[in-house]
Amino acid sequence: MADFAKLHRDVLFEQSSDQIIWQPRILCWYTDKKFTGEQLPPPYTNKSLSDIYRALGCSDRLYGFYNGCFQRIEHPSVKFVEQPLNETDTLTTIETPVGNQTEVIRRPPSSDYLIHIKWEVETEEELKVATWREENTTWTWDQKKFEDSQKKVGDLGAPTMFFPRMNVQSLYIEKMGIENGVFAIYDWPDTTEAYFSALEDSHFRLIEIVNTSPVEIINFGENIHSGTLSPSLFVKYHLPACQRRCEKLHAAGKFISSHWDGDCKPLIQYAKETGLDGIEAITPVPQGDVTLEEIKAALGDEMFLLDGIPAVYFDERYPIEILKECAHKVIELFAPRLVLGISDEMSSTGNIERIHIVGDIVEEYNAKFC
Amino acid sequence: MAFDKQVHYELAANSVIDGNQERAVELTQEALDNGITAKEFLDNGLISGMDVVGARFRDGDMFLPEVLLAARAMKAGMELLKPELSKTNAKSAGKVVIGTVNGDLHDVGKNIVIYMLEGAGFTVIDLGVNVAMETFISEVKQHKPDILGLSAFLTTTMPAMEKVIESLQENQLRKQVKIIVGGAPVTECFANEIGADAFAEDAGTAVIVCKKMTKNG
Repeated sequence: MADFAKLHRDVLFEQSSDQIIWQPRILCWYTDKKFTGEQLPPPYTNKSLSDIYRALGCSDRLYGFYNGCFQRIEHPSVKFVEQPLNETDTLTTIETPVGNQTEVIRRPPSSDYLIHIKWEVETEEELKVATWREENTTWTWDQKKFEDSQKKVGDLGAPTMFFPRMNVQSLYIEKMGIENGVFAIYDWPDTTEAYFSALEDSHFRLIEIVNTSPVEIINFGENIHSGTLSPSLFVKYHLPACQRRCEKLHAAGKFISSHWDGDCKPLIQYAKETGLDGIEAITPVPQGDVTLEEIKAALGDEMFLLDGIPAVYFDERYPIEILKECAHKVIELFAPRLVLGISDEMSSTGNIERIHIVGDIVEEYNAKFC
Repeated sequence: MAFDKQVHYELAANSVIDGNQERAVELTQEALDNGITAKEFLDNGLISGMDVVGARFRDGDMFLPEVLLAARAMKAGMELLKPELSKTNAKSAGKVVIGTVNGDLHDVGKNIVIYMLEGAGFTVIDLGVNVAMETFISEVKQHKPDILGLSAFLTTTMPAMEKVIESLQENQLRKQVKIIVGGAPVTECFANEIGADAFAEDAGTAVIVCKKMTKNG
């Protein structure tokens, strides 16, 4: 079996002699089927996710294994008190010396995902508590976890980490939800910007740890969607924060990409200004709102595309020929600055055997450069 | 200076477009104080502003954050008008029951549709996310809406839309309600396949389609 960890690194650091790598993300397909108790099709039945990747003969983007190597440490006085409210809902009270936050999470029986019934931040006071918590957050590196992860999955891909979300995306996705987040930005600008500033300082402390670690591939797990992160908010908050982070990470030679998995047509014009080396999960039409040609025009010859094939092409309602045509076109436009993958992830309605079809196309392409 | 209704409507519309909640409330109060009827001010001021927001959103010139602020401004003005509107029995543009189907927790797209529909004068009953098929049926029975809106964000949850439609048929409710479907993976072709009456690609289009279905467009 190929050493995908080496190939992954070689592609990103331009030492692959123009070869590319096929890294389909199938975690959704896997976890949805597990959640519903559906048996995986043979020969993948009862296999772990890593073993499925081995059986498919392709590389895995290993965020899940290496994220835990970087651990967030709250101030010692912060306490989390959990109280079940009923069969599905749990109230968490976060006690700090400057006040409390409360959060109610629902775990619905029909889905593996959680619903925020009450977000951790809904008032200006709670946002001030969140700011204090960030100001007092430190980060550590877990070498043992890193070594254990390498033992488990070392050959499937190079060590890769998700970096926590910055300013507006943190507010939307982690702290407040989109609607409350939007209102906070406009109603309490000073308090919101104080939170953004504390978050950035906290992330700079994380960068100091990352830069001395052996993890060379960094992904900003931002989940950018222009529908919610409007161009004006992107330019005012996201873009400069992204540039400042990239500058610090590049100083240690890291490869940096960001996860833009929503619509991005109004934002893609800023791609080259971000300081990123590549963008992950940009979803072309018919699933997203940009064409492959528009993506290429925005990324140019310098930036990498990670992924590029719309996930819906792995569903049987699309003919295999369309999938093949798309894979060839992505390679033609973006190789060698390409980590070919699925934008964003294969759904549980996808046909796993289609992973092989793209794998064969990549193998044939790479053979030209052996 | 004499009170100029047209100028006042324009200012009110702009307060909604700018998402200026305080200004919308202030202008609404002034309108009522100057004898403009609630219905007249709603149609010519607040809804007129929201129509512009809808068109700009549809054309990609406005984005969700601005739409949320506009909808909030409109709602704040509406709160002042509600007592007057209920006294005069002002007619709603139509009643819509809406929800994200079973297994799907995505609500942003649905919520935008709700804001835009309310902005266009519809009465909206939001069933939330992860709505069971049985809930859609019981809510249609209870509220007798003109339109049922079904939202799905995942290819895995789209089939739940078809199940709701089948169940409406089994419960002899299909003919009394128009069905509109939408969400990222949903297409017009899929909408036709499952027997929906309409599909909307975005929230702005959803309003236009709903107006047509209730003959308000």
